[in-house]
Amino acid sequence: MSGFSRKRNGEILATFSHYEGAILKSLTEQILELLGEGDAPADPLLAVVGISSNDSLPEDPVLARLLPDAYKEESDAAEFRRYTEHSAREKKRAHAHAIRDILMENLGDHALDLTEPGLNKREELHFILPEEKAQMWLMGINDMRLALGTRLNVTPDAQERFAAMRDESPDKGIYNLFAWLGWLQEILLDILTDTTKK
Amino acid sequence: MISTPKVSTADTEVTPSDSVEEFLRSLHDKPWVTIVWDDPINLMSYVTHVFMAVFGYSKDKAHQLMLQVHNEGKAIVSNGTREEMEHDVAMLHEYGLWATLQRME
Repeated sequence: MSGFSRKRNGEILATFSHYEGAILKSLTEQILELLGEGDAPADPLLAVVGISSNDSLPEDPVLARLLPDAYKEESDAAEFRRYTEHSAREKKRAHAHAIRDILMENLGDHALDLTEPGLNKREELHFILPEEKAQMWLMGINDMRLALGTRLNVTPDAQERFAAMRDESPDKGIYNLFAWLGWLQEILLDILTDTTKK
Repeated sequence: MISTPKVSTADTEVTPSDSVEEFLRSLHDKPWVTIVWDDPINLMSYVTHVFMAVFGYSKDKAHQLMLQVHNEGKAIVSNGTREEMEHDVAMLHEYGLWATLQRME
């Protein structure tokens, strides 16, 4: 059974199939690629102090959802974004790195290539998720859900809508991934908030 | 520093005769609020967790606020100075919640 559990000694044990690990790693890389764009400050001095020359809501709806406006009023939102977007991107990147780095560390680079013919999809991987990284994982998984959910235009009736879709539909596959991430997030949240088992 | 309070907006007109104390009191009297908006992606349990983690609210209070967001479409989750609310909004954005700040209506 994949997911997270508390060991008797209180450590968080993560269990994934090779395939799931590869999917998670690929998602973090997509998030990192997405967050890496459009943030190069024009002025290197501004870069040093973390001020971005960018001040408008990203055109990509996924990026706009990950880095939303802080004000409804456009000029206030622009000013706030100029001073904070750089650091907001850095934080989101850190979430993705926390997931990717532990996966790479525990699984080795070659074992996580989805295109590798020898990839053993069912073989299970176990590793300890350090407590201080678990919150980052929680936020990182949420970022992935925001990204996929926005791409899929998820609405409150999504479950019924996607259940009715043919299995061959690419959106259904993405929705299943989105639902799996929600399930993973719920398990990790349970473990982190259940103080009786710490 | 993120931004300085604006002293020339219509609601907080500061005349030269105003003392610093009066100005500070006017900020206190017209606090800013952080609003969290409902979205169809974030899990209810996660939103409750975020309110506890960011604001130190009890599980009960966090749960009630989450339900208010879910049922009414939005909820005021904190109030204070503009700078404090900008900090709260940035934290909520880091967690992936959809939050904005504004002057209390």
